[in-house]
Amino acid sequence: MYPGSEWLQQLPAGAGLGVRRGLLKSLLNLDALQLDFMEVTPDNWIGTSAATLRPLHQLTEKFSFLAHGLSLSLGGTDALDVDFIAQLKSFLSTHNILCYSEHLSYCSADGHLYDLMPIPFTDEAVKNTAARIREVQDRLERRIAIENVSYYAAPFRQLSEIEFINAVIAEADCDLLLDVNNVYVNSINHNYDPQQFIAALPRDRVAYLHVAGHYVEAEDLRVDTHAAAVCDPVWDLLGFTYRHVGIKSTVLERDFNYPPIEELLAEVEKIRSIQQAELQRKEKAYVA
Amino acid sequence: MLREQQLLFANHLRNPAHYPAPTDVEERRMRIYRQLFFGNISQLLANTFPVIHSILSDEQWQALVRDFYAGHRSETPLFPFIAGEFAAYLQNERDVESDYPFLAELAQYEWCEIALRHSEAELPAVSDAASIEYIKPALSPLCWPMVFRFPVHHIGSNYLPDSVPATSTYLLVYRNRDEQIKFIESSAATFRVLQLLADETLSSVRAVSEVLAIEMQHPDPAALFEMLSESLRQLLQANVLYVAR
Repeated sequence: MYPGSEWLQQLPAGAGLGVRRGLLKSLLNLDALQLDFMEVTPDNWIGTSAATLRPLHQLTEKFSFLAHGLSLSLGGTDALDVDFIAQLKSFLSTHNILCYSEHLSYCSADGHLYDLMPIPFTDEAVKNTAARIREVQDRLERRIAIENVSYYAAPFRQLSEIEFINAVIAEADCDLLLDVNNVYVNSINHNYDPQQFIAALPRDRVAYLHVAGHYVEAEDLRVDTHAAAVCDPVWDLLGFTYRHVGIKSTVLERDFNYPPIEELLAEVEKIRSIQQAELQRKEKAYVA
Repeated sequence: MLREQQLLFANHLRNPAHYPAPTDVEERRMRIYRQLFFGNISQLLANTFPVIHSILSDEQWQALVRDFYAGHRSETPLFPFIAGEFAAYLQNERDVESDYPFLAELAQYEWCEIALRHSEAELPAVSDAASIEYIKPALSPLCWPMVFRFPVHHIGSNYLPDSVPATSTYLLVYRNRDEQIKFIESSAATFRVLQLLADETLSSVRAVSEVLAIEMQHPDPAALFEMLSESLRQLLQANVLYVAR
């Protein structure tokens, strides 16, 4: 057996960045104090040579690490890839990964598509996804966190998104990686209140947070590109999130259109300043 | 029912011309999915197959990627190995009359560079160099001898052969101790030497040379041995071969 959600208290607080090959050089030059942790995508590294893995080893020796997977297809109906899960298990242990997360999504249906599709919000899908998450947790011998994904369509919908997510978390007994940008993007694309959404999530299951930038396709349609700076409404929502779920480790994701590393570090500082503000607010509230 | 729903959604993204979109989704929202999914796979393959990408028109490239995405069942969950799915598709599944006749071989060549870079195999440490006469070098696990019908290493926008050349192309593609991926143009004779080096009944370069002299009916076995020794020294130097013990 592995520990329950209480272990989440042991995650490092603070702010970090996602490791991308296009950022490797700059990341290798960072001072250990500039980031509290990094996040890596195992699916980009497993099975590669010692030479390819060398820079990752240099980083994992210097920084605490989280991992965020892409290809497990937790919400899918192709058979779970148990060989891949075994590889993941060994990767997580080799690199001393503190928390492993995957998308509440599916990326395969008769083979892989290498991108994230929206799980139909149905009772059948809740049962299917929860059972798969349980199997993954049993095989990895650790809890995993599932991430609320951005989605542009909700085909075959019977439940609301929040009902679906909460039902999966409850039935799978897993944790949540709360992507604040995705909540914001989805709240526009599907016309709901992002604060109400966050307030309805189980706060004691939140493992850590993501923020990122997105693309404005239309006034009522945003695309989660991870190719721009984080926008002000998402910073505000991050502050609200800390008030609701507590100050959690927060990863800045940037996948394309890389700016100089200084700009990303400035965004990391912004995360820290929002965390600091929440800390001060809480202290004041306590004194009062 | 869930499986049918997911296949319907996925198949539309794989091949929108053939499979209709789910009926309960706004068209501009499905378009975002179509653009994201196809854009991502197309970009990934363009980065991993730069030569193929460069010799095809945009239209040809899009049609090729679409055919792969629509028809090939990709099994690997690992992103560095998606290129292998594409190479396998060209080798085993693709059958389009108007394609360049060298396309599958070129894909194998481009993929093999990536696969070598990622290979978890290690080149064993060097032992003390004894005289070549008494040792038998072995092929590096990081060297892949490959025979092509086309000279794939010369193909580019300035050289697009439309018929199979009279002679095959023998390439030794390998990763050296400095982690660089290199290739050497080789020959049928050298490939035969590599075969003999792997033959456990032959215990030395001298023995290999003797077999070769008979096969070639060589008039001067001593000169052949000298030539062979020199060529093996060069291959050892390059890290194509190594001395096992």
